[in-house]
Amino acid sequence: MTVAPRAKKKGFAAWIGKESTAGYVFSLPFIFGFLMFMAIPMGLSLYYSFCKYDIQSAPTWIGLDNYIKIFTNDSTFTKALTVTCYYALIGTPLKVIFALIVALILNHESKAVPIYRATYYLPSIIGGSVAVAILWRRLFESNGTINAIFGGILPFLDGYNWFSEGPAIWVLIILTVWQFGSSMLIFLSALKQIPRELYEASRVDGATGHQQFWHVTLPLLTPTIFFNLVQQTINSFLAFTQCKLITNGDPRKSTLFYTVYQYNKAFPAVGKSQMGYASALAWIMLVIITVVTAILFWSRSKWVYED
Amino acid sequence: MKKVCSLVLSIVLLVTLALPALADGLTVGTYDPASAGATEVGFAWWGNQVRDEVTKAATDFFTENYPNITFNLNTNVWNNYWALMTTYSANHDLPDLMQQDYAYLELWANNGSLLDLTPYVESGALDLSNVPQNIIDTGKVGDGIYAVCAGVNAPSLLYNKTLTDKLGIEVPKNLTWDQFVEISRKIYEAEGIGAVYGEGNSENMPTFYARSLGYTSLWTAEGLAPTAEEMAGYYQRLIDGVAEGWMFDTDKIAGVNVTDLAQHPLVYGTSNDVRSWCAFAFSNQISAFQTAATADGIELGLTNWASSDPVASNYVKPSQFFSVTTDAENPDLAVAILNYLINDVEGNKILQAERGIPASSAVASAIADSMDSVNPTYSMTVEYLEYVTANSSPIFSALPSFVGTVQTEVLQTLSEECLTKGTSMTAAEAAQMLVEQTAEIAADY
Amino acid sequence: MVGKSRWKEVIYHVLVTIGAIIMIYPLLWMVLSSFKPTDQVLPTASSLIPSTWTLDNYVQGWKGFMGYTFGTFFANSFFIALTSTFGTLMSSAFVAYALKRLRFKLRGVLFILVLSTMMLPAQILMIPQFMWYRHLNWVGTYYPMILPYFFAIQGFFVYLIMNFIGGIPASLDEAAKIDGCSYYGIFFRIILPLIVPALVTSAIFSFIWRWDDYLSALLYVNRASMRPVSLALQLFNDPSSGSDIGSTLAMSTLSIVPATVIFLIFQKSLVEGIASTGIKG
Repeated sequence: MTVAPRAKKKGFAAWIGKESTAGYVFSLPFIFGFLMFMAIPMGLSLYYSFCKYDIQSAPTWIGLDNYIKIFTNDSTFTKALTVTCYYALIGTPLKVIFALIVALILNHESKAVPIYRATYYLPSIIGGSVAVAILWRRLFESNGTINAIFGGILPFLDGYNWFSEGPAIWVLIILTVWQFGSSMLIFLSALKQIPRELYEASRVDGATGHQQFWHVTLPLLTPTIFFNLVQQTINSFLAFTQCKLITNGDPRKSTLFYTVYQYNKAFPAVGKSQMGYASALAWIMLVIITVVTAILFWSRSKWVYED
Repeated sequence: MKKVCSLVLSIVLLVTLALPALADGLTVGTYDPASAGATEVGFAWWGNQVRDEVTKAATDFFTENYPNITFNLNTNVWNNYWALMTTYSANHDLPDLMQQDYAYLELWANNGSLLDLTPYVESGALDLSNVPQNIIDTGKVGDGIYAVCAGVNAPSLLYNKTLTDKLGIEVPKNLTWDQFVEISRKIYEAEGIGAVYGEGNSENMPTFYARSLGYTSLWTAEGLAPTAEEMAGYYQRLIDGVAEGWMFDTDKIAGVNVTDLAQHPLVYGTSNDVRSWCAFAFSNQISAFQTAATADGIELGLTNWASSDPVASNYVKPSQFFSVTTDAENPDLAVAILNYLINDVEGNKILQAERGIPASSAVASAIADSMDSVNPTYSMTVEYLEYVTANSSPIFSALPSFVGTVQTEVLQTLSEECLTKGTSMTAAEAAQMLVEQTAEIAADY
Repeated sequence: MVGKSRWKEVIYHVLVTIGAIIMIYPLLWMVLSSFKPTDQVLPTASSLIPSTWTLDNYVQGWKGFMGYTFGTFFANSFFIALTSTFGTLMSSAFVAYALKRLRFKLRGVLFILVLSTMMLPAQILMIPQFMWYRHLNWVGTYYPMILPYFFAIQGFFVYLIMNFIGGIPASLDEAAKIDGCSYYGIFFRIILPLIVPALVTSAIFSFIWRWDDYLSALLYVNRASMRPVSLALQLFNDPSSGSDIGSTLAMSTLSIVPATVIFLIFQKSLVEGIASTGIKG
């Protein structure tokens, strides 16, 4: 008497009430959004990557020329890729190791820990802002804070030029390592999930704190380490704002990130835009990221502990 | 009879002189901006703090007279400016009025972004009668007038006069390259203060060098005018200067901000090793530089850029242009505002000749007296320009379209390489690469 | 024995506190230096506490440039960040519900696409999207910075909310279904009220990311009156303010206030949100 059987509804009402229809209705925003804001732009850029296109006149089809030029006759491409890999391969492990160490330290019973956690995490929250980019430039200026503070202890830092070739990339690496907070939080929650019994069992077996770390904690954390590595590696490959604002690739392209190079091709300071070329660069980056991710996943079985 | 004649003449003069004062509002030509209805006009320029302030004030003054006209002002540093304008133009969303540069005028006119002003000049809507013909010609591409000169300037070496006076060094007029090197060495030895030269992607310095060899322009339609052997001398200067220590090397340039006048090492920096005793700039920029330098108690002087043949190298040029874009919704109104910027005496007083000496000779003389109080460097600039006019050679024609790309992709790389301490690149190699890569880019443009 | 472990505890707190101070030192420096007279900032760069306190930098900086105060820029940033965050929350919740609770043919494919949007970050899409928005005549408007977010294009949020829905017992849905509730009703009456914590976490991240978004502002905003804080700050630091480091630091400090305040208030749900899904920072 109370529940009207579904089967009795007819036509539209019945159709719209079906589970599969509801599924599509609720997915509609994403389906539309994906096509409109991802698929179409990607398709367009794939087309433009085979064109010479200065955005002020119509694109002309030049086949593989952009790709050929990138791989055979573009030393800046090689340079930017090298710089980006250097940044990713040094910055990411450092960041993850830092996050792990701090997480281990903060995995401690105390009322103060939430405050510490928040403090260590704060830089990650605002690290991507323009304000921090401006601040970073000021900190590392030859007469900036870093040299002023440490100049007294380390005399060579007095007037040291952080933005010269060599140290400049480290200014950016330090910035990314500084933002280890979110990785740290993920480690913290993983640490909480390690069953206490495992520690107790190993203690009964006579394991020292050291041994516990190497034989219990670390193996159980490997999935989390893996997750952080994948995520941070991808992020490093795509770092943009901070490089653009802090060094803009200088000096001598020694800090030229791939994304900044790509941006400069698309929107050069002077001269024509090379949008087709920039599109080709974007597609190459996409392939590189896919390959790097695939390698990381392939390596997973070699060192990640699975239960 | 003679008396009557002169009386008539003076009445005529009086009337003509009085006419602008009697006319309602500003000098805007034949179109009445009041008839445009409520309109917002886009106006963009690259600049510095002083320019931003005076230009804003000049547009505010226009709005006071025509309250129906408001402005959407857009200002940026040089590098960002062009990148942004390129994106706007792609979207057909350029501001009605844009500041233009001599180097890129041809590129922008050819891609259809700029309005040909010839019909407006012919109809009288744009009054260029007080602008000398050779100055008008600098805004021409083919037969069309695509830009009007906003002011005149010349390359000029701005230097720390307080410092040179203290060291008893006289910086001569018609400064030669050898004298420049001599002075730089002396200052470097005495104070540890260096010199910024050949920075970044600028084509100005190599052009100046090429002109000392007898070329008018660094460029031809197919590439570079001088040969590789000739250009090697230019790169040798960079390599030698860095080896001797006084010239800012690539690392040092990266540590300072040379693109922003207010932070240029000439006027900004807390220790001597990040200071430069000079800046290779343009004469109109002295007002912004001096504003920034006053805080440190520095008085600036100016002379020509160092060259082995200063008279052959130096030139007088339009510092920048104003163009009306093809995206302007009401071109008549944009032209009227342009006319105001060029011909209105009050407006130009507000603009303080920051963009260089006004192109209209009538305006230039009308504002001369009032300039000294607002722009202390004005008389110095006028004097310098007069001097350059007598000691220079004709300017090169507008640069070919491909130059922008050569700047970012070739010139910058090579000058950074040669300015690197202990570089492995020889001047001959750099010059060879310059010639070859420029030709390659030009062929592909 | 007790004494020894207490000492250990004290040393622990001292060391961790020193570490924490080093971590936030740059930020402290920025905040405190913004209260120094502008000509004192660099000469006294090594000392944290101003010897004379002043608000001049704030007064000077707030004036902004080209006739627009930072009030305008802040209002713009709030508008962009709030609207796009609202869009993100609504659409992501819809999609998450569909992918987690409803069975339909393309569910698996859609889930993979959602994950792929997490791997396909803005920097790669920057140029393709610019060209596409140009076709749509969106350059010079806020549309590119707001509208896409109404279509769940950030897979991260869908994923986060899906995980949360996973924790809601399916028996609740079943009970509602038996009571005659449609799949739409289940979402609005049962799921939506229960996923509020996940929405709060998402809102915080979305707001902070949109607030910091400098790249789209650079590409799409072309009038001074429409600039958000991120872009205004960069321009402010560049040409107009010159060497006035004081007001630059003052405005930089103000620009991180919203994110910091939100972070401090919602710290706990943030930490939990991050721990449950793991994200970039």
